[in-house]
Amino acid sequence: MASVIDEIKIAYWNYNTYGVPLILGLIALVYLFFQEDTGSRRLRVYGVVIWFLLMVPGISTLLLRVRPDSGDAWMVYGLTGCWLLAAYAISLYWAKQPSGKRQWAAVVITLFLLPFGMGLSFSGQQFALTTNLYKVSEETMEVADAMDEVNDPVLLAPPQLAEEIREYDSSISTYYGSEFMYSQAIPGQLMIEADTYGCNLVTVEQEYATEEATAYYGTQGFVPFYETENYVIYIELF
Amino acid sequence: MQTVTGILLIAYVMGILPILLGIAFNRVFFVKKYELSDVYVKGYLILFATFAAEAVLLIRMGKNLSCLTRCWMLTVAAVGVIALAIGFTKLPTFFREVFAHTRSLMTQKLGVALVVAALALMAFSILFVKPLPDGSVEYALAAIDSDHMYYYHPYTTESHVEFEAGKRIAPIEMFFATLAVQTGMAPATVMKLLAPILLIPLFYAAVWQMGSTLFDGDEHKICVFGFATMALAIIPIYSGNEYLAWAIYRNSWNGLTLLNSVIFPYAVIWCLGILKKAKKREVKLQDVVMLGVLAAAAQLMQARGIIYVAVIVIIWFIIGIVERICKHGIRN
Repeated sequence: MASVIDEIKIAYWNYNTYGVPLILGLIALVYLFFQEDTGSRRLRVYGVVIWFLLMVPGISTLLLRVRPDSGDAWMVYGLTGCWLLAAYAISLYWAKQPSGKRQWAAVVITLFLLPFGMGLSFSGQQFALTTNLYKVSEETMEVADAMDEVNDPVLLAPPQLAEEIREYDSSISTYYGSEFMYSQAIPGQLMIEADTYGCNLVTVEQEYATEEATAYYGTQGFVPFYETENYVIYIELF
Repeated sequence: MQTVTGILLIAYVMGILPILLGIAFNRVFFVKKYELSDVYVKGYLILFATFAAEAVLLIRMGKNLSCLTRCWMLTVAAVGVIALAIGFTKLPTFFREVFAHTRSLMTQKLGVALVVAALALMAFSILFVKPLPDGSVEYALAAIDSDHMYYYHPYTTESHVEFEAGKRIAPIEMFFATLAVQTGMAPATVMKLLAPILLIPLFYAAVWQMGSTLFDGDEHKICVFGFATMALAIIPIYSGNEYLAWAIYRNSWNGLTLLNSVIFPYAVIWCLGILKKAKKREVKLQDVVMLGVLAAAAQLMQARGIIYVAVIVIIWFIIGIVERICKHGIRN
């Protein structure tokens, strides 16, 4: 029994890692329980059944395979229809408000509550003007262009660079993904990783390209090759 | 010139063809309404289902991307001609309804505000928001470079065939790869810049249809539902969290995003609609056929897409049975 409860707890917290649309969905479900129209009644029954199925480990793990550690965990968002329920509940709530002022108040309350759903997480990193047809940063293009003269470039790079450099130039292979390590803060470890993956190019962020690190990379056969505003690229000499 | 023809081809496959397919579907099943949103969503689902059937079959047969591209281009040409032939007589009705519906929407302040907000958000997301790293472009690139589908790791380009079994039965990336091969454009351009112009409206159309079922066609309430949906959908934009399942404004080309943001909710509401019709004994063949199309389209997006849609359908079926038993007793 304890393991079942643990599994439910793990599932619950993992499903909610990336925000609380599920909690919004649950709040909406509770709200729908106090509504009397047929649509609300049917949707809340669907919501309860699907939540029940997702909370039963045997069904959720074997039939639906939405284990928190599996790639299918995301399916919970769609199967529960959490945003659909939330949007429906918001619309119902708004429609029930008698006057224009009350309706505007409902809008303000909704807009105020939504950010709380994400733990007040705001970020500006994802905003960038699209300046090219590849929708990658200019710096990524600069790094890729610098590698034109390298034969069979195999690059070990910070995730933000590795994830988009191949979208611009597919002749560059990178080691990016959860199965690969990248440890630019520890030069010794980074060299082991470069050796393991067979990389002939290593990129580190400027703050990690210290004189000591560069000297160490030199002893391992990697010398500075190109430099951009944020990155230093080392190339293997032999 | 190549870019222009490429853009025209993408506009045909991802813009015009879904509309033709949707009109043809409604014509075949004697559906009387020809709303743009209804036609667009149905057409897209048929398009995805057709591609899923063809691509999964060819991948299983061990064919390469060039072969898939040739077959798919022949299919879209043939299907387009057939759909046009079937739906040709209904085109005037379709345009009349679109015009009348647009005029009705534009007479409401809320309707105008919804259209402006929807277009502004779409433009903003395409021009100013970085997509989440999802590997879709890399999968397409690896296939284009090697001509093998799901054979190489999308980043390292090493042989990765044993890990790609799930992808081979849910080849959404190849849908865009075929377009990239045929147009000569970079997959990144096709997926990140051109596809969202036609896929985000698919989301809007699905939301409109869902609202229409939930609020029995009350346009005012549907507009509010549209605003509420958009307010929820912008969370991944401002929060910056990796929230792929609901990132329609950031990664509209991603299978997981399309599945969770469009196909699952649409399936839920489609079933709800069937239940409403069942009460009046108005369920028709098209309602059941569309469930099959939804399942096939879901399969294109995710390896277990068919199972998930089947689960949704079974739950609604049980709800319908239980409702009937509660109302009429077990003997009826």
